[in-house]
Amino acid sequence: MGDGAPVELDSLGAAELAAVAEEVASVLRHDLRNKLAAIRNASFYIRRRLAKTETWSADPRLEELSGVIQREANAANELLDERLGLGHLFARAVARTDARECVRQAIASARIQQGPALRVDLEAGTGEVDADSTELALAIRCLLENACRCCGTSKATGWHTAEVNGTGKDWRSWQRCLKRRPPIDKTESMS
Amino acid sequence: MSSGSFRRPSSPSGSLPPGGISSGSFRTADLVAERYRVLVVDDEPAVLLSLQSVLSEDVDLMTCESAERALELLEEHPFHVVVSDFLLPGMNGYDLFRLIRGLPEYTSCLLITGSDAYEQPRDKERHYVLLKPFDPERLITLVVQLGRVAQMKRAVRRLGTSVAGKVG
Repeated sequence: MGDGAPVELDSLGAAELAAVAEEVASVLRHDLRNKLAAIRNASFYIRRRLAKTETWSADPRLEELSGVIQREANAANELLDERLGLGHLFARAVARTDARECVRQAIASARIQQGPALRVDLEAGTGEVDADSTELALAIRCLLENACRCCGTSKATGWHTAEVNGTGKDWRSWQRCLKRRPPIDKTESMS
Repeated sequence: MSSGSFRRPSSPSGSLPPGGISSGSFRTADLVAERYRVLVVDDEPAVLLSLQSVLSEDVDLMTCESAERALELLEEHPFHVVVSDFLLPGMNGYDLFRLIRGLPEYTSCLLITGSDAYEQPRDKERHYVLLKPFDPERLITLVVQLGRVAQMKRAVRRLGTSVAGKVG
């Protein structure tokens, strides 16, 4: 990335980049809002204390500059929301989604170069959830890649089970490491 | 930054007209004589100092930097209002408020946050939220109003207990 060469994105790559960018921007917005809050509060306090003194009435610039701090802090906050809001890069579209398709998409694009073979078992039941299919596939891909990375570095002999669960508006995904091999009575598997 | 005693300003403001007196353990005079006690929780020292400066003229304040310390202070001191940041090291502000709702005395809760991650909980017990960077005047107004709400709710509860005791 650092050599300026164009980055080739896979099918979920754009969504992943957008999610990372939004996460970074979100942390930045949070930190800057905290600082702006401290500036506004400090300015308010100084203004309130100074307004009771002769210095305040003797120098009109004090009131003017106090107003500048308040206005500029407000303007900076608006800029944060307008310019640093990257939500438009990935517009979530929640719909009834077949989670199995998301799993297949995740497997097809998972970036696993070395380490253990990836095998995914899909249960035969319906896997429909209310979710954005791209977002769900991306989350599953992250789980799979993390599991493989973990196995590869720790040389663990266990199995990692990634599960996606949900029927209503919420869906959850998680992974856990099993000490023992799970039963092989699934109806579908991919290696 | 963590303080162990209430900070009182030299010139209290916002005095209210004297109230009447009723019988039993409930006295309406209690409603007007008390200054609201407020606990402010934020892990950013600069924000905490600035919040303390903004509020200190209007209420009695204590501050701390974590939800865990806030719970200890709540055991030692009765507060009318807890003002907390959402993102804190360890327990977050929302979880802190859930525990506060379990306290025997009603305590008003005000969440302040600059986080995009915060979403108003779906349960019935919602709390007030101010988004950073907020107007300091608005913060003062809200905290005083929430102090009044806590005071009224406690008084009504005491009145109910008192009446129930006499009837029973």
